[in-house]
Amino acid sequence: MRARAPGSEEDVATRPAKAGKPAEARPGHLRVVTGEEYADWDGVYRDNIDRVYRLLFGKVGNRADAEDLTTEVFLSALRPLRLPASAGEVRAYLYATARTVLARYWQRRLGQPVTGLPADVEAAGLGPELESAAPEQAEAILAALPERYRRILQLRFLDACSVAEAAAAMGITVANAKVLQHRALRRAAGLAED
Amino acid sequence: MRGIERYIQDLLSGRRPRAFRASPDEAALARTAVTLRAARPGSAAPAAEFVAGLHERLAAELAAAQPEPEVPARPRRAFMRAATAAACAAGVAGAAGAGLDHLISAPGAAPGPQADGVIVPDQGSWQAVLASADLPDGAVHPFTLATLAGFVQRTGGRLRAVSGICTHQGCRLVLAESTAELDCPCHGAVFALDGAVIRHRLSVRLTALPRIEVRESGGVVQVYAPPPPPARPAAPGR
Repeated sequence: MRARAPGSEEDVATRPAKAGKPAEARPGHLRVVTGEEYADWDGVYRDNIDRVYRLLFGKVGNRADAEDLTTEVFLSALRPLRLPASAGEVRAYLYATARTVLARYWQRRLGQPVTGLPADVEAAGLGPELESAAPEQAEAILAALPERYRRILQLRFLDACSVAEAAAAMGITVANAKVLQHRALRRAAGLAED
Repeated sequence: MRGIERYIQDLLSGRRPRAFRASPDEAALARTAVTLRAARPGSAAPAAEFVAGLHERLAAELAAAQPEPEVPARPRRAFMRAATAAACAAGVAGAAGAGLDHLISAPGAAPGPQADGVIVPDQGSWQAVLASADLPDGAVHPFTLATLAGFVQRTGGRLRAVSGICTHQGCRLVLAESTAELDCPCHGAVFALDGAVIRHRLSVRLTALPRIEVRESGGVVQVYAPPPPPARPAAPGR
């Protein structure tokens, strides 16, 4: 079971404010539930580290950068944070910080805004049960491709196969697998397959 | 090697991709590659050592005046990483691979329940499931209401409730007392008491069991559930 910040209560603490029915329907409850509020940085961290990391991993696709960006978000966001504050406010602030950190990252790394976070927090799904949208986006990308293109990208990106393994799985040469991957990725990106 | 090719190779190898000056087309390739790579099953959760390490670093930088916090608990989703290593082997073994089935089988279908979702009904109320005294610390108890079935448990003084319905095809889960796991009688999927998927042999991706709001009031354990359907009035003239 997850450790929880003092004063927060398992799960109830992370319920979205808009789905506040249990809170309203809780007359005469025995425990004090400060669920919608963080008392200290530790509570902010425990409750949000997972979702901030997932959010950023979904936008950079590699662990080293996702860890660095997550670190940057918490290092820069926590110090000026005035607590106690409501969970919604804190998350909106973490999200805005992540958004800025991500934009800076791409500017440094490729000089282009490769992926970004929309300004609208709700649209981005930074709700309490955040899941990366990457699986759905990947699904949509692959579903739109011809079978062989889909297969090579599936093997290489999702199934973690080497080029040789992917080539063997598809019964083609390594050279062909490389060409196929290149063309498939261009098609998936909406570019002409040179 | 061109910058974008090296970038994609780094991404696929799990290395930190190196910087280069990308054209707009190359940025589009990088975006697609990142999205596909980020969807690799089991790779999206932070490593436990990273979570603990950053916590320590923040504690050192921020919390001089605060009491020493505990080491963070194991991240909920750590179990997912275990499933990653064999993924390629499965793809090579012949079939299109479990991941592919999941990805393309039903593009138009509504998504299943989100992993780690909480059931919050539009119209709900707190409904008693058993007396507090019947749920000592460490105990797990099945419950069945008119509208929800699940398991309530008390661990370390905290209450938790999860759905008792398998996220595959809706069979009722059975508590295996010896292992403290929830077993699906239909296809053998096994869930942890916190709802996490432990193992299964299905070719689809299973989501974790949704949690159910639970509290204790007046010596009674209650869950937040939709109201029972209205009693059917007796048919007239019978």
